[in-house]
Amino acid sequence: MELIDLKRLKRDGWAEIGSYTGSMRLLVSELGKSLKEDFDMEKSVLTPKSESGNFKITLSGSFGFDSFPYHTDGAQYQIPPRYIILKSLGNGESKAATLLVDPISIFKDHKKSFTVNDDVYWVKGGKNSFYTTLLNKTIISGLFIFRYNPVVMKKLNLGSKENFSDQLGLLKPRRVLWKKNKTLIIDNWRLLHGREKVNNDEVKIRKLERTYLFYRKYNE
Amino acid sequence: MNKNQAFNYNSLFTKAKLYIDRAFSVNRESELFPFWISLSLEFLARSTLAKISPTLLADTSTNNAENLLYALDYESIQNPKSINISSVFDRLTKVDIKFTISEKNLCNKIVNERNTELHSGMKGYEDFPVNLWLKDFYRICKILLDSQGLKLKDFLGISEAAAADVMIKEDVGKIKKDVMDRIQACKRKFLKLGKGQKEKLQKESAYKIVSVGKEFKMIKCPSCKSEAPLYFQVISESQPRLDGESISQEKRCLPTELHCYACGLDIKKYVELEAIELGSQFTIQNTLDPVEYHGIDVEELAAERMEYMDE
Repeated sequence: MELIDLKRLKRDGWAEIGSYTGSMRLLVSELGKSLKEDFDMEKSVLTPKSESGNFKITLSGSFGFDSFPYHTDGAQYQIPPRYIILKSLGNGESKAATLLVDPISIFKDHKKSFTVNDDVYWVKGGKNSFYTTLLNKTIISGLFIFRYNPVVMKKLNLGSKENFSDQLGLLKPRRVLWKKNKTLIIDNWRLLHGREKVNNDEVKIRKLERTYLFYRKYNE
Repeated sequence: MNKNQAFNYNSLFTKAKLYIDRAFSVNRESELFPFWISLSLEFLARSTLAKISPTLLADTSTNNAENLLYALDYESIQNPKSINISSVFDRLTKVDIKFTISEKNLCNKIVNERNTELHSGMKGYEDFPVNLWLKDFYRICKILLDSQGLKLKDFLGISEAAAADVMIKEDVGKIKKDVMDRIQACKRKFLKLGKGQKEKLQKESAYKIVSVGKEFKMIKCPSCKSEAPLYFQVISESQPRLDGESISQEKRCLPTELHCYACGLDIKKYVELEAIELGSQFTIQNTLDPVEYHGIDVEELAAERMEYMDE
């Protein structure tokens, strides 16, 4: 596939297109063909919102225009979206970058006797609440699903001495800046993303179209 | 999305992991150590059944199928009821894993002590302290995790898994030495007997084997080389199929004990059989009589045919 740097997506967990003006459905279909997967799409438009009037359980409700902590999307679902596609619809450039970090090095630290993946979390979702570890391989046998969202996930055990979010703070993020039609594809089962603080003058400029790609075979 | 959280494999396994972590976070001498372990064991056992099918956990004793439908994601109910833990252990002996009656008995004992602690005025684990069964607990965890495609470290964490592994291996080594010593002792005793005595014992053993009433296959005794019964439990049976004029069926079996009536060698635990490499599962082929299998009343059938010929 020419549109998306598939090699980078597989190696680094993300890929970007400088300017994409085609249809989102076509992009998703091309991605599905390349990865040999069928996806269900769910589209929405994101604009910065203040804390008031939003549910506390959402990041906007908790952080408003402030920076968003690192998280994966849809952590409250047993099977979160496989990929996220973000496309800038706003006119002009947004200085508040989307931040990407790969937590794999935290899990690979075998020197630690008790790793962060021995921590058990309770994912709040009403009747659909459930237990999980950060890197889960028992929801879909043989596949790793990483998830983290401090707003909906509560650590239940004493577990590792290290705080996961502190360890995330030690990683150097990749900063992605936005201009019209720029498109970013994120592996949501692997990478965390966050957002820098949005200044008042940027509130009207920053407008992102977000498309969730759910694996169809696990979502029936 | 899964609605059947109560019987969901991931939730049950992760809950077992949470409880084992709670066990590790208290002092090993604390009364809470075996308590948390017993809870963890319960959820690990339940998760093993759920991994095969959540329906294996549904309580169907109340004559309605709502728990079963819930397990299959068809129905949403407030308080889904699952089978009790002793039934869970019982079912684990019937699915295709190395969980035998001796593991079932030990698991029941661990859980019963917890119930003594929780539901009686007595103290649990008083006569059955954790140091007596911790290595067996780890060994059972390994059996259950193997069947889930997981490793001890996925459940216990890296360092606890390494320690557990050492305990299991040491235990297997000890068991092997103990069984080998018994084999040698029985061999010496048998060799001291006269030829006539040996033959008499070998002859008598055939009657004794049958009178036990358990399923067995004959093998050479590892001690005296006489024919000895290896008793087994049937794990699963294939669908009967027509093979010429008869019906054949395969049974997958797990050895459970060995008793040689000639030299007196007695091996009663699966782990002991496994330690001397007699623990492998095997398949036996059964030939079934079509008349018996289909429950055909031959006389009635003959009478019917006679009637037909009369017309």
